[in-house]
Parts: sequence; structure tokens; C-alpha cells
Amino acid sequence: MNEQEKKAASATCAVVPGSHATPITRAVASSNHRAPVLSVNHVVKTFGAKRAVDHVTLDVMPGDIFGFIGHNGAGKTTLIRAIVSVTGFDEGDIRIAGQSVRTDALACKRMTAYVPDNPDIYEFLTGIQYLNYISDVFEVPIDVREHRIREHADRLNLTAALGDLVSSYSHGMRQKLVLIGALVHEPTLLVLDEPFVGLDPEASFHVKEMLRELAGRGSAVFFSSHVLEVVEKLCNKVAIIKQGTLRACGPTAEVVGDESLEDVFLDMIDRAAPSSVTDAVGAR
Amino acid sequence: MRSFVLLLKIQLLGLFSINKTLHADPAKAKRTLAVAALVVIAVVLFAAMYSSGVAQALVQMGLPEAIPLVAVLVGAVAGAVAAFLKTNGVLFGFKDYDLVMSLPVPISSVVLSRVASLYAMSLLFGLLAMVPAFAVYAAHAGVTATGVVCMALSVVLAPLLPLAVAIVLAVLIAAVSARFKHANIVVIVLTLAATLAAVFGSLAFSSQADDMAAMTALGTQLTTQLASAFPPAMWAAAGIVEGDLVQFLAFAVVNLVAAGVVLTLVVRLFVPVNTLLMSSRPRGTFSFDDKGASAKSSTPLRALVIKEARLLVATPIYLMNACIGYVLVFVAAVAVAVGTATGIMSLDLLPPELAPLLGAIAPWGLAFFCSISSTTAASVSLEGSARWLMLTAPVPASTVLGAKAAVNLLVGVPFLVLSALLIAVSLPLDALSIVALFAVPLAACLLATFLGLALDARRPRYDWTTVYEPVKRGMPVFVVVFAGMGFAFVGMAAATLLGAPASLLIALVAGAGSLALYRATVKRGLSV
Repeated sequence: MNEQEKKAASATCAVVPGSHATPITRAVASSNHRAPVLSVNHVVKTFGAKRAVDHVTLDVMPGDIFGFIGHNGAGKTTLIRAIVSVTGFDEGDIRIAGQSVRTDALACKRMTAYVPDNPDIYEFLTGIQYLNYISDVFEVPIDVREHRIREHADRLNLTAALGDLVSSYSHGMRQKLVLIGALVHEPTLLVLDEPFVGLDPEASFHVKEMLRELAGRGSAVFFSSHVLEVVEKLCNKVAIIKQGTLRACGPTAEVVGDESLEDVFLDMIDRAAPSSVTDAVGAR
Repeated sequence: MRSFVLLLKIQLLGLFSINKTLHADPAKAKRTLAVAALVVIAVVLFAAMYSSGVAQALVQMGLPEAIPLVAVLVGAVAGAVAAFLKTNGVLFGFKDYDLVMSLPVPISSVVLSRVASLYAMSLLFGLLAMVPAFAVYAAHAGVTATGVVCMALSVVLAPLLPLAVAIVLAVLIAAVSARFKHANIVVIVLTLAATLAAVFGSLAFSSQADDMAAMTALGTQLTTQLASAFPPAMWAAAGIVEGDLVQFLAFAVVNLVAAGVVLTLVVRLFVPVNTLLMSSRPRGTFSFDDKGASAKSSTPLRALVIKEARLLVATPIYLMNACIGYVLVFVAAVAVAVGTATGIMSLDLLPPELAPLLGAIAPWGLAFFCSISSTTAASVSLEGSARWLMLTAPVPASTVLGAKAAVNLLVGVPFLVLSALLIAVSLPLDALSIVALFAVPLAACLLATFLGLALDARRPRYDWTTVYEPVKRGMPVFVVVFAGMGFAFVGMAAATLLGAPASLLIALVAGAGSLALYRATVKRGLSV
């Protein structure tokens, strides 16, 4: 671990006691008395011989906007897909508001909303049919859903297109529709994979506002992004993943220190991976 | 030329997921190839039996010289259907349009590579339809060397003109679809009308089966009509049967010129039509204040069922492929009811040894159509790249899979109950046979529903680029159709030998087995 990583880790992350793996860190919440909305504990996911996620441990607290960054293939999407129960994992546990994803996936899904990196949705539905479908599946009452859909759609300038088939939507419009669908049931945990790709500047601004407001109401937002400026400005916490292991994790200000997030990220990513578990642990 | 070869290679590697299979892990590739080989053998055998059966029938009617005409015609139509179904997705509205068009290759190469891919598909269908019939013809008629050459050339040339017509039709429909909100309904109605016309045409032909002289006369009349309806087939037949090279040359020229003209036309229209297809924009007229904008809430299961039903109606090829059996069974039942009520169809005409078997066979006739109809066999695969919605929905796998099964049952059961009712009041059947008339098709429907669901849920294919792939070429679809045929034939044989109690016993076992299969499928859950 280089100096920057040591600094970030010592300032914001704690090594999990008893850990025997590569750098495993847990975000030190500013409000430890509250239960985390998302708790990832020693999660391991392998594809054949490759460990895509290697003993990752982190907590996301109510009100957090948590940025998750890493290069392509670092393990971001794999962990996100495990959190939202799209894929399983080999070791460890993921809990959402205390419920285990492994043993009670349904309860976790009810509290979670997911926005994937590619907004592939049912093209044979109209926008409003899609939102009503999501509302029905999440059992959102009519009056509540209408209010939320109207509010979010107006804000993202999508209302007029809601009667049209999704197949006629542009990438950005689909992205907005998926976001509205994610917010319509007021999730406790909102998980987004590259949410700002394809959005116009105005929509991007409104989405950031909507994420802040959701977090302000006590939910938590966990998202991956390659747009480091957005992560730095929007997130109160950040984690950097490289080759499946967390390299830094904690309050954004502490991880970044006097530098920019881009500098910290590039510095960490440019360093060679620890050659072995011993090296990695020893480095700390 | 080099660019054409490269583009064609990519097209052919994508055909039937050849490249994906070759690059899967060896064990999986072996399994896939083994199953694919079995399916190919089954399809080839089925096509050969059907094609040679039609040719043999013509021989028995004393019309062997009509075989080449019918073979060329059937080969051409089979090729046209294949091309028509594939044009959208291969030539127009394909997903990698932007990528392909940004390559430094001439448009003519792009078009040619894609038309060549369609031609390869048409040729394959043409081969399956024509070669067995030609073999029967060669065995029953003196074939000259010229005839053999003409036969070989006609296999290659016959698909060209229909391919050209199919492409033009597909372009027109695609262009209309891009502008017409309910184009899918029009496509469904037209396809249904065409299918029913074909079925009634063949029924009219087969209704004369008891009278060989009338059959031969009808056969002669029909071949004459076919020849006048599609003269190129007659020209090809003249070349094969009479060695008339002038007429065969006319056949060749017409096919080649038609292909050339359409190719030139498509090269010119390729960009404008694709632009039209991709430029559909939202009308943007929705308002929450409009009448009908407010929704009614549904339970998750009902919402999922409605979503599945919308997919079915919005996808004509899916609807037609998965539900045509139900339509046919209903049409057949109506025909029986009308036929017996008006006296056109009299049971007195049946051979005396067949009359007592009617009650045993009728349920399995209905079951045949029900057991080859399954919306579920492609339903999980059709989630495609939107499967994250299914996987993250806060509902158990039983709700997701149950909704998919429910749609097939909601479509199928009313058709089969009405059909059984019509047959029951039309034919003089005993009580046990009437019970079997309802129970057997219901068991067949359950089998098709839950077998299709089990197969597709176990090995879904999400990476399709057009719905044609899971709907028409999906392994679960093939297996359900062949298993359904086997079920109906075995049941019919058992019922013929042992009577209605055997039918009821088989229906009971099949129904219980299907439900057990559903429980096992739900327990296994959804595949990522």
C-alpha cells in the first residue's frame, strides 16, 4: 500500500479484526449508533479461477451517498449485482437493513431499487405502463404512485413521453424512466450502476438533487461511477476497488485529503497489486 | 469482395449461435452440439418424410410428373417464408446497424452479405423441401441427365424470386409498422388469415380422399392452378420433366433478374429504410390530466400476467408461433360442428371399423394441437437484456414463473374447452369419451405449459438479437413441439387399443407429472 492509501486507510477505514485477506476495510460511520442500511461482510465472488470480489467489507449508513469507484473489471458491477440479488456470491454476507440477502432475498428486494448500467427495459410497454408495472410489483398504492410519478417525470421532463412505447425512447429517456421506476417505491437502499451515463446536463443535475433528497429522507444511495468529479462532489463516502479488493474506504474528504479524488484514484490504480496476501497485509 | 467475405463470415458465425457454441467451455459445447445434432436430424427426417410423403401421394394419384412443379413451388414458398421471417432483424432494424455502417465498406457489400445470409436460410429450407421430393420423382420417372441438372439448378435458383418478393413485402411491412401504432394487430390478423386459408385449402383437398378418381381430378386441377399462379415453377418443371431448356432458361432468368433488381433496390433503400425504422420518436402527447391516464392497482401476480400478455400481443411472431395450435383446434371443432349440423360431414361415410374408435381418437386429435402450443417455451428467454427487472422484482420465483404459465393456460384453456364442447355436442360419444374429450387436451395443455417453462427456465437464452431466435429456433420450443407430437401419437395409439379409460389414465399421469415438473421448476428458481 502506498503512502496515499495508508493515509486514506488510517484516516477513514478500519481493518476488520481477524481478517486474513487482502486489504479488507470497513467504513467508519460518523454515526455508529445507527444500523447500516447496507452491510457487506467479507463478500467473495469467483468466476472460475478469478476472484472478482475478494473479501470486500463495507457499511452504508442511512443518509449516505456512497460512491463506489474502480477501473473496468475491478469488481464494481459484480458486487452491485450481488447486493441486488441478481447474482449470488460464494462467501460472506450482505445485509440490507438487517435482512440477509442470502437467506431473505425477497425482504431485501422490497427495500431496494436498482438502476443498471444499461437501461434495458420492456420495449413493448409504454412509459406509464412500465411505471405502473413497477408500482404494482412493489405494491405502491395508486395515489402515492401517481404523486411520485408525476413529480419525478415533470422534474426530468419526461411526462409528455410517458404514453409512448419505450422502444421509441432514446438512451437518456430510458435512463430517466428507470430512475423514476426506482424512486416510485421510495427505496431504503438505492443502488445505481453508472447512473449519469446518457443523461443530459439538466437531467443529471436533477438526478443528483433527487439522490440528495432521498438520502435526506433517511435512505441510502450506493452507486458506481467513472465520473470522479461527480462522486467527489455528490458523495459523503467513497470506496475504491481494485482487482476485487477495497483499497480505500471512508468519508470522501478523508480519502481525498488535500488532493482530488482523481489523483488519489489514479495513484492507487497505477500501483501494482499486492503479490500475495502476506504482502498485502504486511504492507499495512 | 474482401469486405463482403468478412461481413458474410460474421453473419454466418452468428447464425444458430455457431460461434458462441464453439467458444463455450468444451463440456457445454459438446452438450449443445449433441442436442443441436439431434434436433437437426429430427428436422431433416421430418422434412424428408413430409416432402417425400406428398410426392408419394402424387405418385399414387398417377401424377408423378406433377412432383417437380410441386417441389419447386413448395421449396420456393418455404424459402420465402424463411426469408420473410428473417428480413427484419437481418436486413432491416438490426441492432449493430450503427457499427456496421460506420465501417469503411461499401453499402453494397453490407447489403450483399446480409442478403446472402437470408439466401442461405432460404436455400436450407428449399433443400429440405425439394430434395426428398426430387428423389421420389427420380425413383418413379425416367430422369434424363438434363433433368438431373435442372433439378440441381432449380434447388439453387428457386428461392431467389420468392426471396426477392419476401424482402419487398418485409420492407413494406416494416415501413408501415414504423408509422402505424397497431401494426402488430394487422400483422397478426393477416398471418392468421393466411394460415387458415392454407389449412382450409388442404382440408378441401383431403376431403376428397375417399375417392381416388376425384382426388386425381382435383390434383390435376390444383397443379394446373398452381402452375398458372406461379409460372416460373411450371417452367422449371418443364425443364426437369420434358428437358425443355428454353423454359428452364426462362425460369433461371426470371429468378436471377428478380434477385438482381431487388438487390439493386435494397442497396438504394438500405439507408433510408433503416433510418426510417430507427427514427421513430415519441409523440409526446401524454398528460396526467387526460381521461384514462390514471391507473388501477394490481397484485404483483396480475401485473406480471398483464405484462406477459402485452408481450404476447406486441410480438406477432411469438403469438402466431405459440398459439396457432389453439386457433387450429378451435377452427377444426367449428368445422366438425358445422359439418355435422349441416349434413356435409356424415359419420355414415366413415368405414364401419373406424366409427367405434371415434370417441377414443377425438380427444387426442384435440390434444395434438394443444400439446404443440406453448408460450412458456420462450417466455423466460424473452426477458433478454431486461431480465434484471425479473431478477430484482420483490416477488418469489413462483410468481414470476406462475405468471408465465398462467398466460399459456389463459389463452389455451378457453380454446380447448370450447372446442371440446363443440365436438361433444356434434359427435355421438359415450360419457367416458366426453370426459376424455376435456381431460386429455387439458393434460396436453398442462404438459406443454410446464414442460416449456421448465426447459426455458433451466437453460434460458437471453443473448438474442431478434425475438425470432428464442421463439422460432429456441431448443425448448423444438423439444415441446416434438414431445407434444410424441405424447399425442402415443396417447392415440393407446386409446385405439385400450379405449377411453387408457386416455383418462394417461391424461391423469401427464397432468400430475406436469404439476410436479412445475413445482421442481419453481424450486430451482430463476437463472441469471
